[in-house]
Amino acid sequence: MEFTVTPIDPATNLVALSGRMDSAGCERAELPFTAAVGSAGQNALLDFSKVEFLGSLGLRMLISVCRVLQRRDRKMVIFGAPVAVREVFDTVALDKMIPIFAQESEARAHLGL
Amino acid sequence: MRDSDSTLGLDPDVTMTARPAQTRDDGELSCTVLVAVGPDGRHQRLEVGPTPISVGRIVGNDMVLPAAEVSRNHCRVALHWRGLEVVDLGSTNGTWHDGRRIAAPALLRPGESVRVGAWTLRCERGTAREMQRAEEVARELDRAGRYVQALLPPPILEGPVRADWRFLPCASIGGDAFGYRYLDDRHFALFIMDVAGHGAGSALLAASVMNLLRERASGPLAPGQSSPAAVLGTLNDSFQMDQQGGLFFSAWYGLYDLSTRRLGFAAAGHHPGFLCRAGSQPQPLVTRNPAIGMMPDLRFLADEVAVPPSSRLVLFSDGAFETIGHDGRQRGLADLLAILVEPPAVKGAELDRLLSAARAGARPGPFDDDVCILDIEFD
Repeated sequence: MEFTVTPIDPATNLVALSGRMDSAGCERAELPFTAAVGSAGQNALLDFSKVEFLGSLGLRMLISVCRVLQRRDRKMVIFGAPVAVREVFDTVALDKMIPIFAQESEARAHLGL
Repeated sequence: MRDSDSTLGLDPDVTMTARPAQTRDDGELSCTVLVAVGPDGRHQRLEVGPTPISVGRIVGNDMVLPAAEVSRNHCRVALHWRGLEVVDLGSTNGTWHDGRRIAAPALLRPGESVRVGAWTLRCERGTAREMQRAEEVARELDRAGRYVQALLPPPILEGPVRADWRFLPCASIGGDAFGYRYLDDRHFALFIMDVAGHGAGSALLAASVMNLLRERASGPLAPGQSSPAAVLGTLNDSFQMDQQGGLFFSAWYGLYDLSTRRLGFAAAGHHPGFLCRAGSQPQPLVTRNPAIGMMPDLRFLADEVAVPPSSRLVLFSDGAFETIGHDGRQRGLADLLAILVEPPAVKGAELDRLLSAARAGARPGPFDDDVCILDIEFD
């Protein structure tokens, strides 16, 4: 998996993820992702539109970083996930922890942008 | 071909040049090891020296892989200055690299692997100390995997509820576990779980959960405390990911009342179990809850269903269907479900049929994740 981080306002980063969030991908990306998104202390607006697969290690990475942000009173929001990825979100009821939206505009609105 | 292509073919640049003892910049000698990982997750390790090693099914080979799909003399592995060179010796079922059967010598760089039957052969390179440490880690993983397997229940072949299973741990241990037992004359409890992570830590967490559930089940059955929602709530209180090294797990828990023929169940971040009856579509049994450890202070949703006579409950871990097939296509739950709706195999062979289907949906060699299939039959 790959990701890019783009500041979109003083309190929020747009994080665009792509590729397979499987064990191989997440083992490589977990530390840099945690450092760039979790340690940044900014709200994270996650663009999932180019994520091809989400496995349990990918979920763990997301949830760990989300908990870091929540402890800092910051938010993580997801948008644009393909159907197969949304099914994984649904299985683990991820929306009880992280707000999930179909459209970027809805996700931005949730953050007051 | 250049070294960007792992097939050596006729390239003079990559003609075998064995350098058995290379010296790294830090002055330590490096060695190259062939690691074979079997379908049960166990390892064999063999350092490759100047003399090539033979791999095959029969004794007399340097590395013996005892499986029918491995030829008597399957392949030869030789040291190469960039890793290991693998030559197939005309084996019946082939030696596979990146999903393709190799027709010419193939170069394995450190970390890369080929597949021989249900085995993965991986190249590792490092100093003697690093290799020794890797061997210790592999042994520890083997021990952790064996510990979890020792906690798994034996099949129940007689009685009003019968249970059987297949379990194939992956090389790095995926943290799958399951269990079942009678709580008393009237109640039969069962569960399956899958830790979100690999390695000894996942195995330890799985073992802790199994032991906790076993301990709870050994006491008198307190009303309400053994309901699926209560059990998942207790697990969630006990195993918050912040206190478990960042690990959480999915779980499916059921409690069958033999007198009423009702099955209570709750899933936490887990895909459905399927209640199957002859002539009917499998009925998915699921409730929508977060995985165990994701969030504190949860109240878990549960449900229950009537269990018709001569039905069966099939539970499996995601390793059975989240695979990439020979064709490179990502498989999913729907693929395994398509197998499940077919008429079951003859009595006693259903688990093997499902396991074969899971294997057919994956690339050759060991699975990338634990595969666990649990079959519960009701009178």
